[in-house]
Amino acid sequence: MLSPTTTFPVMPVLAEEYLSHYLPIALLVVMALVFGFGNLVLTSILGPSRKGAVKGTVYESGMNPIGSARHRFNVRFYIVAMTFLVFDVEIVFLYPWATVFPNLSEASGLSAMFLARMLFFILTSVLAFAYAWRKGVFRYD
Amino acid sequence: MQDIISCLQSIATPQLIAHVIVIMVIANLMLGGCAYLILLERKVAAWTQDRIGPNRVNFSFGLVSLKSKHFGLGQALVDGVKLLVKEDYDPPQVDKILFYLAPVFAVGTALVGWAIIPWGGLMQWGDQTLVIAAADINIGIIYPLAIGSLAVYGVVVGGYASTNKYSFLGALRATAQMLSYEIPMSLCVLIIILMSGTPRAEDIAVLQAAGGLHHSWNILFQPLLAVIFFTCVLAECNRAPFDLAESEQELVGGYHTEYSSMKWALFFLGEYMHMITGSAMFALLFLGGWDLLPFLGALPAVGGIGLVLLKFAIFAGKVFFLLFVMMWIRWSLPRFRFDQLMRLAWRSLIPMTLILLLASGVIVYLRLSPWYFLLANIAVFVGGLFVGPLLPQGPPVNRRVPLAGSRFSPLVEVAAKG
Repeated sequence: MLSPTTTFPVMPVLAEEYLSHYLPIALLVVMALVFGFGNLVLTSILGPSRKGAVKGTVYESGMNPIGSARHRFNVRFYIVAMTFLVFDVEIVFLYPWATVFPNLSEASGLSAMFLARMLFFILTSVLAFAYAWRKGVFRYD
Repeated sequence: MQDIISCLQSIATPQLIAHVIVIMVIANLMLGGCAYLILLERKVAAWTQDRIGPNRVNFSFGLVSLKSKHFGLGQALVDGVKLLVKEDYDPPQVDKILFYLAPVFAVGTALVGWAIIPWGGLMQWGDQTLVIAAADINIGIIYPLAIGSLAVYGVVVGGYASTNKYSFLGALRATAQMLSYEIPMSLCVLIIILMSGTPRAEDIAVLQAAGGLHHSWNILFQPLLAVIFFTCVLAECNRAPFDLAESEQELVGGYHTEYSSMKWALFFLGEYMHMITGSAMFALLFLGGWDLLPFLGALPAVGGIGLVLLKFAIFAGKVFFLLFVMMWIRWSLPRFRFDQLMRLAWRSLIPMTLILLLASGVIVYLRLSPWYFLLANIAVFVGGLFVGPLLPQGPPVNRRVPLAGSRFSPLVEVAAKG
């Protein structure tokens, strides 16, 4: 349980305030979309357009294309993605901890518990990392 | 109508107007700057390779005759117009919707990602203190990481939609690379948050600029971490020596093989804008943001419009220097091989940053002086030098094929002796 003496960084909690903080980002997103799609439209209007049978083939360094590009690919890429997921989720959980932990007051006596819990949490993913290493996930030959 | 006006008045605070002005100025500076960064890149390449580089196109554009060549500065504008009026060709085999969406994703994430960079620090306006950044959100420096991971989609969707083997391989490589280097990068940011006790960008800059022995640029406390972060920024931007996604000797153009005209150029605009954002993040996290010199605390945290412009100039100078270093690296170092790239991320950068995270956690818990971070960095670096060779090695990757006439062939040697 958190005692009232715990000091957290002061942050605005009002919903309205949140909205006005994110308003400029909404503006940026709209700007980015307008810029991106605007360029697509402009370039398709301004440029010439010529079609041809050979021009329409897949580019494979000038050779006749062999098969389709929808191939099966090495399973390693999946394993890398899954290992990434383990770490990324862990790091997402660590962000709130990293924000609160340095700001805990000495009087609250929570620091040791915060550190110990986080050490245990990191330990679990270090174990996962060691297991993946042992299994040869990071071995590329 | 009255309601709308009063609503607008309540929204349009000085802070919001400051945000909008920053967005208008910086977004245009970045878009224009990207065109000139490409020119700078060509100039740096020329400098590295002992050539002159583009120096012909001046600002006359064939309309008037000018004696001066203006150092070839007209090149960037002409290139932009050229890309816009080139043929916009969609190969018939592509997945149309995704093919069109991918460049928008690439440039969109890049245009949105820099929002929290506090270019001008804080500004006194009447009784208020305004943050001179495009947005002041409480998740702070986590935001560019979140947007940066969305940038993977531009590459992977573009490569998949092209239905081309080169594009597909390039997209796969780029995905694996960007995912792998995102982990050490976010761990670096995590350690900086742990050091500073806040994720807010402006607070991190103020802490580093405070002056004195215990508040200085983070690169002095965490030099190893700074090197790791810079490496990750290079890899996230798909810059050489990590440009495996578009390694032209093997994959023609990688994920943008089938793209043409402005669709192709949007990918490059995105890459250059990611470079600017990455450099700005590095300057903010490790080089004190808008601070002039470490230890001095030369600039006050809050000031008038003159101070804001000075801070912006200092910040831009740092970003410009880092961009130059990136280009310098690109034209100096050869490209990594894919297995080396993955090994670097998973077998060295991630363990090192994890150990640094643990050490930083303990240092923060014990409330020690920040110089202990430097000690931890040196310990990890030296320890890595000794532990590295002891780690289990993978099988040898350079298989030597016995080919008659090749340098490594034992057959030839036997034949020569007999």
